[in-house]
Amino acid sequence: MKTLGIVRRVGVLIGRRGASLLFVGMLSFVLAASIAFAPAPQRASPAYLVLSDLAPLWAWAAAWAVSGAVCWVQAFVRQDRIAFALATAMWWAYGLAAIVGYFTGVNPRGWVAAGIWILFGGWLNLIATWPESADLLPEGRRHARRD
Amino acid sequence: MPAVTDLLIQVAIGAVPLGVAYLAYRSATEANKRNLAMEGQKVDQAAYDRAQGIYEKGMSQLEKQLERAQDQIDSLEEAVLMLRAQLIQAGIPPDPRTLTVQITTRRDES
Repeated sequence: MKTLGIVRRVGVLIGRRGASLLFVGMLSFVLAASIAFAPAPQRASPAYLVLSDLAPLWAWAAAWAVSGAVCWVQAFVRQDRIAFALATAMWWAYGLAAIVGYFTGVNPRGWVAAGIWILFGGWLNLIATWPESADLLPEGRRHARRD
Repeated sequence: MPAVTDLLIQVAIGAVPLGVAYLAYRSATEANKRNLAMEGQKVDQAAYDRAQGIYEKGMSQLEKQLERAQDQIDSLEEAVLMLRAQLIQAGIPPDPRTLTVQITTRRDES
């Protein structure tokens, strides 16, 4: 019961936009780890070959990690625009990389990944436009501080 | 030629995410502004509700005090009437001013 209260309080604190950013941030960290610690056979796969052609894999991993960190930080503050911009850019960039792999013939199944990444990026674009639910904006919560 | 194509691809991969990031940035800014406006409205509403509560509580206290004062006035009037009657019975004529006050009070009530 107490745990439920804490979860509810955190939910009110971060709101739905914040929860979305926490989720996207977690995905970003998972992706960063998967790229950074990819085993050699994985690095030789078509998708990774395309990625490493465009930029070093460590750079992709670092970009995802930065995106995740910004998402997690801005989930708890009033202004979350940088997190949304960064996360959207990363998902689109990843999707476009997959498209390039498909059209260049390096990754014949690239269209699947491209569809998923770009659609998710578009979904993030949509979430960025949504204002917080009025129910989750009681007077004097995280938005009480005026800047 | 392949070098130019590669360059174009790389520019596109850089430019498109930047474009959508800018869109997301603007959308999020707008959404944040709307959040702020909604929050302001909620703060105003809460302040209004609190003020109304205080006002209504004050009014009900005043009404109770008024009722109590009215009861006291009634009992005092009864006491005056009783004392007048006792004075008359005792053969002492009451002060005519008290009669005037009583008549005035009765007129006001009617």
